[in-house]
Amino acid sequence: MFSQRLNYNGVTIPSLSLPAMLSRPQSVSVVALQVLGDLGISGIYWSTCYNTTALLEYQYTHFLHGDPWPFVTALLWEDIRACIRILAKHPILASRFGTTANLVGSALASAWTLDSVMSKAFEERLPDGHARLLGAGVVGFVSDAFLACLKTPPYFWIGPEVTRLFAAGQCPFLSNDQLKTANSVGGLSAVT
Amino acid sequence: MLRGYRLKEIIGQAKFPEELLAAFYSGGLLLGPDGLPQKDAPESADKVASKPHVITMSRNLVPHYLGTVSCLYTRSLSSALPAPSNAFSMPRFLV
Repeated sequence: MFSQRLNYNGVTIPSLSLPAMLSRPQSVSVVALQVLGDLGISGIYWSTCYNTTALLEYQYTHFLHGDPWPFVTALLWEDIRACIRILAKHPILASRFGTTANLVGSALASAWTLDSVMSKAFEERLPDGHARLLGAGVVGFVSDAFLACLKTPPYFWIGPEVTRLFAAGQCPFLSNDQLKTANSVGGLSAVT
Repeated sequence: MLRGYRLKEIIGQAKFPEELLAAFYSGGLLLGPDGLPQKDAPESADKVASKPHVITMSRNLVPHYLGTVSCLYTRSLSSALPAPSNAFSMPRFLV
């Protein structure tokens, strides 16, 4: 699996399968990293590559040979603008988001204080000691109503829809109180 | 006392065909046009990843897909989930 060598600030995190993640409570970091690792980090990390051949080459030359994966750090507010630039140039996500890419910044601002939304930045440590931002990933715990919409055909692209909902003043993620209640009762639905 | 997030379901979408396959290999399932989960994609990974789709895995689905990597973890799941209807046929160490 792609996340088997997932590296969190120098510590390699063993990979869990999706079913294993569901079997017991997970810490914030593990949830974010594992969800991203299994479902998103590859695409996010590849966001600076521009074709499938290049990303596969990077994967084989770096990942499979045991080189460290990008460092995962907290997404800082000052990184948002750079992340949006990456999104706008992304060979696949740019077309999926279309004009809603302009609303991503304000959507992230709205979600910034929610405990149900976790974000991470991925950086490459350059030989000169500097870090280069590769992208970011967001994982959120959504409401049952939004979950039902997600799973009802016809399907839609999640990221743009979440952005559009935020712009319309509707939050698909759980509030801080709803998060505590849902975690205590039935469990949480994570969307990445 | 356990602390942390108790997940009941994970939903995601793939950007690339390889990412879709990675999700499958991790135990993820694709929701079909009827809204029901399916283990195998009806089309190539290229086609599936190029249009809106949903990859999912939930606690309710785990017992029905013991043939996947989830079988490695059913021991930890068994205390929290009802046993699948065919559990009697499973080797004891799996259930």
